[in-house]
Amino acid sequence: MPKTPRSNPSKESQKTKKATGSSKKKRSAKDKVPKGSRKGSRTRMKRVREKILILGGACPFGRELVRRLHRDHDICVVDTIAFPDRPRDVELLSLDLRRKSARTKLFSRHFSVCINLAVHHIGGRRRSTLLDPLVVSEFINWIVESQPRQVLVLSHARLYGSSAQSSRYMDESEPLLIRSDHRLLQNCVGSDLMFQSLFWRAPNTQTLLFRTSMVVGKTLDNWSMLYLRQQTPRTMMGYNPLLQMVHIDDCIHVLENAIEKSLLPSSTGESAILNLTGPGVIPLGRLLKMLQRRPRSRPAFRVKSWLKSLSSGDIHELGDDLLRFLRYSTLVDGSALLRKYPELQLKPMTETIEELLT
Amino acid sequence: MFDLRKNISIRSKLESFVERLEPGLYERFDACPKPQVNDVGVDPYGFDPNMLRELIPLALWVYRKYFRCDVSGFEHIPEGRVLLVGNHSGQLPFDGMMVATSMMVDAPQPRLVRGMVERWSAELPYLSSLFVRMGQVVGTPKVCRELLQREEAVMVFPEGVRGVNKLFRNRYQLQGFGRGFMRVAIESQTPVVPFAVIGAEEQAPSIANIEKLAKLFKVPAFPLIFPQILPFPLPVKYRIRFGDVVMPPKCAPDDLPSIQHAVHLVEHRIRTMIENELVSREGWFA
Repeated sequence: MPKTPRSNPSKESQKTKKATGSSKKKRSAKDKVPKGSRKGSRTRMKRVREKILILGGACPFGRELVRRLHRDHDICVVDTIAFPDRPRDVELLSLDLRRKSARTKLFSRHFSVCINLAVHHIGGRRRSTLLDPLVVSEFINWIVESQPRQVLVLSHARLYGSSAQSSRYMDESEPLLIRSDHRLLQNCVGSDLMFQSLFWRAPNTQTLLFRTSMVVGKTLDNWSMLYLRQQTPRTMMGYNPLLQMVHIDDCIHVLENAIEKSLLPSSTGESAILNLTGPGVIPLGRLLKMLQRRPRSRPAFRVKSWLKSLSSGDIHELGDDLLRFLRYSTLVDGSALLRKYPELQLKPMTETIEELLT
Repeated sequence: MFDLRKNISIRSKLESFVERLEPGLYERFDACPKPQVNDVGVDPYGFDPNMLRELIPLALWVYRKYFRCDVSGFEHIPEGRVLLVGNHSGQLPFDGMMVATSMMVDAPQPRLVRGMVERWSAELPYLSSLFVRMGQVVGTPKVCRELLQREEAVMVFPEGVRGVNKLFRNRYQLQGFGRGFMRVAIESQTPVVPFAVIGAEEQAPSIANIEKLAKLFKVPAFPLIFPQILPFPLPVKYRIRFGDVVMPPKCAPDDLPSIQHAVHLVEHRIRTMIENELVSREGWFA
């Protein structure tokens, strides 16, 4: 693994100032002092401050991640959507990477860690350009050339597909079985597979591909949260599938762990695919009951039309595919991740549900 | 409008009915070892012990009153992990339900039994969810291995759908056992207890299998059942016999001749128990 150049925090903060264009008036005198010299920041001094690129970091998931990471690292977010309330030390590049000029601008820089949130970027009323095959392919070529220390990709366990066959615990070796005619899902699977090519194309870069189960959190606006926020959600008549849900804090904690743990000399830095699941399973009916919803069981065709009316943007087209997730359980085995990070404490499910209730 | 008092009175009536039918049933249920559940009350496979507790009176009524089950051979069932392997029949999987109920209500040490079901069962509306909540799991070697590691009792029907959907003219003819269960038993060195169910073959006599309809509805078989019109089984008498334990051979899991030999041994014991019972029984309903 290549050594990461240890950067001077004061120089880095100056660079960030230039890039963000923030005025000196806005910054307090405290901000000018390097972080390490502040009282009570001894633990931060010990950490290596790294330049982290977050692709799709302005989506609700990315915002939470940025807020967690920006104190310890220099963050650069690339996105096409606005991030008005971002921390002042975070650089936002509003780039549409489908344009060559935008790619040239980004790829002229060097980052030690790259995080790709493209799959989680798609939401209720948003379209994502980050899953465009051209963008993914060019991004991967750039990674192969620039050789960052680490690449973290957040994919989705739903890409394993949902069918009567999937109600067993599927591990990371299972093929991505989703059979869909929809461009969005094809792009998600394509992105996941293309990032796997980094395992052999960039052997000096640690590539960790996390496939998360249903991510929930108060601030999120992904499809799962869109469904769970409905007061009278429709369920498939006669089916009550088991769900695995993981709290956004747990996802971010895993990403933080992955960045910090790979800095340790004992870490092997091996690339891997890891399923990220929650603390257990819960039947959909029980979850809705605990969330004080009033679910209505309907035949498949009625649920499908309801799902389509629920959302717009790309996921509006996914009626058939989303229907399968309301019918069959899709359970994945997350034990490999827990073996890699044994100290990981997942949030209890009741706590997550209580949070969603408030 | 939901009336709590009415609900409480129904529950107390149900409990008094169960007390009359089977005194001490709930104590037995509470005493039997249960899998670890998460903070919402289900285990990793969706099994909900509280829901099973609610539904056990229905299973008990079917066991005692409808099929009038006669069970023997509990002394062969060892403590700890065990694979219960039996013959499958009757179009509807009441045989598995009755074996599991017998282990709960009649075994000297009550135990929960985890049945392995076909993957296509997830297609069945209502039943698929019910199976999962009652502790049934998808029949894959990985799942079976994990349950045995937790010292649970796992029930397997190695004939699969070929057994349960066979025609009436093929009744009590074993349809050939798969070898998967023996591989798992060898890997985990789990004792195998063969059992025979007699009576289930006559509960829903199938005279034909309409394959075109089966294809249309995406199910393994579409039996034409006679003489029933409604999908209720005939109230035949069930006889369940547990046989001597078969210890799996100490060999590699890919040693095909040894595995085949052990599977034949289990099959032979089940066939012998079936033949003995068919000779001694007086009729379908007696």
